[in-house]
Amino acid sequence: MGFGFPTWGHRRWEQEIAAFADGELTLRDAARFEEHLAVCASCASEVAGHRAVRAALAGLPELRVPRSFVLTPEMAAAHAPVRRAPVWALRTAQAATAVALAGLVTVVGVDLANVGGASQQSATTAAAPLEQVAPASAPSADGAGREPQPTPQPKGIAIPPAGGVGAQSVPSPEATTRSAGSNAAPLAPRDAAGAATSAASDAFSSPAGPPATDARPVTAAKAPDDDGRIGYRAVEAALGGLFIVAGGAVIVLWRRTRRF
Amino acid sequence: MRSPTLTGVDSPAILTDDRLVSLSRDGHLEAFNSLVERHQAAVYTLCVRLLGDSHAAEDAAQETFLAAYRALARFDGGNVRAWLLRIAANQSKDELRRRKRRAPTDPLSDIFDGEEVPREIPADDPPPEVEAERHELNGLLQEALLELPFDQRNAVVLCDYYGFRYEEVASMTSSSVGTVKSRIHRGRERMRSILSRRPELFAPGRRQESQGE
Repeated sequence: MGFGFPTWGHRRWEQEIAAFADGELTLRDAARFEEHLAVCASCASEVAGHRAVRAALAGLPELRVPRSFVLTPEMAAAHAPVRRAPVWALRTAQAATAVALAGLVTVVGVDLANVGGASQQSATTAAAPLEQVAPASAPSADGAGREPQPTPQPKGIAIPPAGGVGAQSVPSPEATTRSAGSNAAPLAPRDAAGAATSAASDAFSSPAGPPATDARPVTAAKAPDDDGRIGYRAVEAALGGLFIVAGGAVIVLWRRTRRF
Repeated sequence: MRSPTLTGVDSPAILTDDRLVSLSRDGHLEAFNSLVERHQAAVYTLCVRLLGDSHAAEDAAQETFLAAYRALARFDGGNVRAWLLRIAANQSKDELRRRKRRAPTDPLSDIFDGEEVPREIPADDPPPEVEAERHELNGLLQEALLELPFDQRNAVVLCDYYGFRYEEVASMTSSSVGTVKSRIHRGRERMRSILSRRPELFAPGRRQESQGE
């Protein structure tokens, strides 16, 4: 037990009095402590006091037992030795608990992040028709003849054509084909505002309608997300079950490996 | 529970503690009881020092050996007496909690009357007045011990009475060496304060001379 005495304050000397009196210091530290004792009457007196108490206690007698404490066969049978569980079993259970907990936290975190991303994607998809239409309507206010702005390309089911006065409600096959590609024609500028709202609602209520314009996929994208979440749920349930079982094993094994 | 008798070759008196533990694990109750007889005085004495009550100490000592018997499989080897004393301290602490609100049934003086066994056989019979003085000091020491918090009391007794090193006491009390050192330091300081009330019985210089230090 070494402490590096020379730079200590007196308080630190005092804390080592018991250790010095009991011979618990290293030879080097004990020698330095003795040097301190040579110049500190207070500490020297304290050391003498500790040694006196120790000596007095050492002189206490061993007491004679009032009776024998041996075990009878009946007592032995009632207190049969408990089989000790191996320490490796406890360590394995602890490791399994930790892994299950870490895995569960990770999977839940990823699952929640995916759900948040899918939610944002859905919200963005619902607003897309409005965004598409708005720029197209701006040029129409200045007059006809301007070429419509290019719009985002659809990746799935497109918004069906909207009804309304003067609206081009029936898309041509060519428009349908083009909408499935990368350069689909936008809605007619004069009908854009009226088409936006109904188109958005129709996109969800009539997914089977002929695609007429650009639209982001909504319903089709749900399928892979659902499958993913089901997978996450299964993994979470498995990890949660493992955590509970391993945690219970830790409790039982800890009690059976605890030393006296 | 089988309890085969030991053969004459395996006389318990000549068997080491480790051998007796091994035999106990194999079902030799006689071997375990040999351990009990070998260490029961030390265990009972510790319980008395910690509890200050002979009846409570009896209960704690019996519970100690029952608990040790149950825990044979968990004993990793080493000092059997230290292992038993560790169990005894735990049982004493539990017993103290159970009797916390009860007053001691025996005055402290009853613990020492007629029950003391000198640690060392004196070369000459000490004079009666010396014996009486020693007896009174022993009572004062026991009173002082009982005024310490349990953990300090346990550490001081294990170190000063049983002679265990700080590391051993730390292992027996599931604490660090620094904690043991602190407990012993504070415990002795407190005891010095109590013992100083009776300078005719306890004085540092005087005790050192009588102990030959």
